[in-house]
Amino acid sequence: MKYKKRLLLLIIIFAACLRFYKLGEIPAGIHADEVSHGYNAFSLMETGKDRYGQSFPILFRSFGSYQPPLYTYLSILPVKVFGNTIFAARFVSATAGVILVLITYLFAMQIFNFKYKNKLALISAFIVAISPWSIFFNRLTAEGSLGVTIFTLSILFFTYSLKKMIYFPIACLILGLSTHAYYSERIISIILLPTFILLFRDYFFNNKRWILVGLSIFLVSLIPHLLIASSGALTKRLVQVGLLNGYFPLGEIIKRYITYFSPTNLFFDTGENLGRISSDMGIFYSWFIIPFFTGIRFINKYLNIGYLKILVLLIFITPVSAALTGDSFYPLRVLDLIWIFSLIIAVGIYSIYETFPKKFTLILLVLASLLSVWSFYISYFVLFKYERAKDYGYSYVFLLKHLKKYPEYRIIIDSTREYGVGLRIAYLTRYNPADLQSQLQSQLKTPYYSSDVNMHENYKIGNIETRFFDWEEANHKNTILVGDILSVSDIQAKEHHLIHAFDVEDLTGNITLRAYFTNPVE
Amino acid sequence: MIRNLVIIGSITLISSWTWSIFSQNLFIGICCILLSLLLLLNFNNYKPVLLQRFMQTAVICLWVILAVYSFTTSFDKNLFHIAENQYIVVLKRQEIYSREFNSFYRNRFGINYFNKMQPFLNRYSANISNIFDLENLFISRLPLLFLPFTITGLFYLLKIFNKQYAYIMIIILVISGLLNTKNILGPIIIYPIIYASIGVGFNKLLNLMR
Repeated sequence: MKYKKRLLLLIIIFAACLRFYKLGEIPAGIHADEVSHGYNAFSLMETGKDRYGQSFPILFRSFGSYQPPLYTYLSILPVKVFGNTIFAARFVSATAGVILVLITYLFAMQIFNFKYKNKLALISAFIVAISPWSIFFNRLTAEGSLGVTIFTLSILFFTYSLKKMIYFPIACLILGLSTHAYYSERIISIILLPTFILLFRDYFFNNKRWILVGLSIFLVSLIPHLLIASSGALTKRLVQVGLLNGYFPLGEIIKRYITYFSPTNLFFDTGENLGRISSDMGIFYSWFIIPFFTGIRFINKYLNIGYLKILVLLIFITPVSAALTGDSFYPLRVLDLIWIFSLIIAVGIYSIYETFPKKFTLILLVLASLLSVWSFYISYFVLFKYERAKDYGYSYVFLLKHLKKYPEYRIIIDSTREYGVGLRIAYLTRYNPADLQSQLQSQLKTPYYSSDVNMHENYKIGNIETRFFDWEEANHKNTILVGDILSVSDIQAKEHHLIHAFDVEDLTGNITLRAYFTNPVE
Repeated sequence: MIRNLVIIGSITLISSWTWSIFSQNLFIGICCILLSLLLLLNFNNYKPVLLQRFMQTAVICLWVILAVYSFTTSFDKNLFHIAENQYIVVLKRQEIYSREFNSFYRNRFGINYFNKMQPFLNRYSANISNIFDLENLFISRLPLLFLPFTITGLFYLLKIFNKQYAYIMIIILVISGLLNTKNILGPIIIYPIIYASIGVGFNKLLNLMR
């Protein structure tokens, strides 16, 4: 037994290494949505308000996406400890990922029911630890990472509650918390709770008092949502990305639903689209397709019918929220489903191990796992770092190093095509939240919680301004204009007598930003 | 036997994929339907002793015909060399590998692995992924109505999966990796399995309803 605990510890340490190694450097740069969490956490820490001056928001307005709050609140501590760094912004996600590995082990120990369930539980934890989907999203400031961890924790407690009812209210509380962690869980949890009770109605209806307590706790946890339900903020994200714009396209929803079960999307590279993890890599390693189908074949051998019902229920309901959106395949929205698939893959691997000569199979599986991790290292830690740096605003982060050399200049950065520029600078330079609040508050055209949100914002951080370019600026002295390659053409630079100052390249050596000194003709 | 015939006949009549195969190549269409029927009979345990050997031979012959046709019409010529549109990507990646791996990359093994082996493996696996593309099958080629039958049929097939089926699947996977997606007829190499699964699913659901 001791060696199994040591193995679990090793797996958790390995998971932590994969998630925390160069966390602040890969992905290179920081996405606008990531920096939104970081800056809001910093602002809350300093002033108790977000960057718009709202005290302890229920949802964070953040460029109109109304980010679920839990991630930001939990980020306050890492920002306090590690400062305004990219590492601090991603810390909660990485930690949630490591905790998920432990939850997977505990859940597998709970649901699998045979003599060697410990081995299967260790394999389940290992699969989650090394799977591309898990590492990729845990290394981003992704609310979905936190969402899946809290959601699976609630499922764990729901399974505990099937033996002791006292766990039921705890499970309901955690499920309620998950609705504040990520968008998908808002819909999934509302479908899950009553369905779960109905599924085990013979058991639960004999414990009505606990049901009432649990349901009450869950409903209380939803009160913050209900308080802003009529403002349009709660459903803003669904309106932004959803299919339900005044009509119900059942055919489209079914098609979207099916895509989340397509083995092509799960085990192979989906190409250049939103659903891509990294180059030449699927959500799972390609060879996992064999244990996946094997796991489907043998899963009922290791589970009793009750727990099998739970898994089947989760498989059916977890893709529902993602199916309502317009994107054809977006794994972040179905991490709960992908986690279930990880368990099935673990069952498949164990079944293969049981069927074939053990030593040979073990060596083969260990080799396959090592090769997989190696291929992930090349795909993510090497290629992804370089090829996707532009998607994470790397150039704008690197730009700051150049701008420090020009403290006496007024610097204007074109934010037409990159709405997160100003916020990145504010976060990384620890710009005073109170000053930023007054800037952004004055730009709010609608109430804080609203279905109508102006996405573009102008920032003034010291000598740096981020806004749309106005060619009037070319007439001012001691000014540097910075923009992407579409901001200023060679003809425009000549026309306005601009002098080339410096270029900023991305990691692959492509010029992504150009800076010009103004040179007004008197 | 007659029920299976009726099932396969009905499924193929409703499916636009079958019609498109027939319109392009009648012979291949007939092979696909015959093979689907034979597989369906096999999966439903229709095995009169006298016909067993004939069925096995027929299955192998028909599959060989489909494989040969697929090879001749959609063999992926870019598998063993880099396509023009990929060349720039590979060049850039050479710089990246050189920077990141230094002498670990800059040797015969490293260069061969990263510049030749890896693109080949990626391309090969991308080709294999085509036969698993549910979107491509159920949105472009088959009516959504068939989906529940297909899933039921595939579940049943997983239950009765044995070494023989495993060998067939391995061969199909190996062959699929060599084929591109440009075949007008689609992934005909898995057509018989899909249609037989639909037939099995249909049978199972019918039996349940009784």
